[in-house]
Amino acid sequence: MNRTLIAAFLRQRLTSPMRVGLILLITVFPLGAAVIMNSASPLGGMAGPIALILAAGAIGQDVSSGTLQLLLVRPVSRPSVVVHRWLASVIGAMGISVGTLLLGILALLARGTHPDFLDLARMVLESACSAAGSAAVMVMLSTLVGGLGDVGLLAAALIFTQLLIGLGTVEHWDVLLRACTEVQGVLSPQLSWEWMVHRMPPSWFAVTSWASTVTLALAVGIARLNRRELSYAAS
Amino acid sequence: MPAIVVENLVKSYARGMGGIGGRVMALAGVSLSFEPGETVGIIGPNGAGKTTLLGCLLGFLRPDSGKLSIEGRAVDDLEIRAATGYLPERLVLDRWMSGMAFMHYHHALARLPEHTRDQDCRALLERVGLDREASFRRVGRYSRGMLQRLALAQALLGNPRFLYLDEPISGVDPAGIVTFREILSGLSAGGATVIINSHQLSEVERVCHRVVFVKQGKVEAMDTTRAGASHARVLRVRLSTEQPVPAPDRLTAIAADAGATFRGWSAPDARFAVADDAGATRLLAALLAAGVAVTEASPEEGRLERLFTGAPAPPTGGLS
Repeated sequence: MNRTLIAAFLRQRLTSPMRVGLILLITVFPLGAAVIMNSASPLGGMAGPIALILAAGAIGQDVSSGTLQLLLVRPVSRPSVVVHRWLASVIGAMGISVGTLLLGILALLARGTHPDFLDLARMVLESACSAAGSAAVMVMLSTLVGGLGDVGLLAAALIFTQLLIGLGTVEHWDVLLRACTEVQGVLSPQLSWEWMVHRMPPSWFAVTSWASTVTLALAVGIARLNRRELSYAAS
Repeated sequence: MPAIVVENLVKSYARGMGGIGGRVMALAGVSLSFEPGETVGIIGPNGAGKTTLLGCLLGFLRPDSGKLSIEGRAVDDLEIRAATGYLPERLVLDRWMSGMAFMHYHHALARLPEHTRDQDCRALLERVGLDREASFRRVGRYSRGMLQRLALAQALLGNPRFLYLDEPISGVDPAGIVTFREILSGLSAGGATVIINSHQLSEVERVCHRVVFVKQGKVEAMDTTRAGASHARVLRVRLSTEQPVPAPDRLTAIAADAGATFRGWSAPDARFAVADDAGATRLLAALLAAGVAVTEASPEEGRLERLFTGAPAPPTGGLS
């Protein structure tokens, strides 16, 4: 593992006021809600959006600016850049969401509420899967377009599929509904760990589906960056 | 054995969205080789294919056909990259880091030993003339010249055996240019192969062992810069204004005796056509012997400049 790549990427992301502001918005509100509701459940869904914020423009911004060329002159392979930027986004998102979760737990303990350990473990594992999935999709999109075009691409895909879902619901087109739900699942891969709390066997279909989506997204990202020409003379 | 070999390199770009406008030929069968310890200048007009050639050598671009190898390996081999330095033309460095942090980052990426990191980075920043205060300033606040120095410092990390410099002295002050020359001289002596892409023709002529002139994706001419000794040129000789200037007839006679031709007078410069270096030496000796107060002598136009002004290449393949 190349710690230099991970640390530099995270430092760069966390010196961007816009990203830090968005992350604060995502963490402060659930924290407040957890304290008001006296429950840890609002703290569960942060990791995915944080990973998206950290991974947005992970490759595309550096391709557009030209800093990726300087990085690739060093003994660093293109697949390694994709994987480490994904990994850094996941580590960053997990660090921030687990930190916020711990703050929330401390606040709840101070108010005399004792969250269930299994439930907390479920939240952390679901956060990790959500962060890994969202970051993989975002990094893949980032290899397809320059700058922050990946954000636009993701938003457009989500809005478009949502519109189609609306149309499918009105017209009772089950195939369209199913297809769009699948596409949305691919765009924000998540894995439920509810089975662990209920002491049931895991859904291997869900596990395989999540793992294959993450792997496919990273593979597409690597293949795309490997084929990409990196010179302003090429554009 | 050449350090870098380029054989019949062809590279084209798609024109328009999805290539509907056909393809633009950037390199049309370029063949070159670069020896260890050699400093080679690649010159040519805008759009000639210089940046594309550099892009292919650095592994940023995939050639359509042809062969590229560095010490017998692929250009994107990680062992080759560990021995490569690159100074880009567009200085888009990581603006959020300090100069020192930027150097540390590249030192780590270059897999150089961690225990010498601080020492190596400080030494290089000092070598390119960036002081301590500047090295701890954010890169985003650097001037163009400082960025150029920082980019040169990172390119020199780990004493690269292959150094690619794209417009290396653009925006650099005279002191920086002197430093650049000293650094290049040291690298060359150390056996590094240096490839310079530049429009600063006089500097290329000064620091390079060999010059490659690229035009419309082809190597139009290739020669050693020392080969200029055998080329005819116009010499501009500046005469002291504190002494009476000799009459044109007298200058014509002195020039004729030295095997040169007097071309005219435009105060305070006299212009003479000489056949080669020896002819220039004879002319200057003759002028001094005749009591003419010469203060300065320089070629009116560098032979590399003549390539740009359209002078035809001689059939032997020399530069002018």
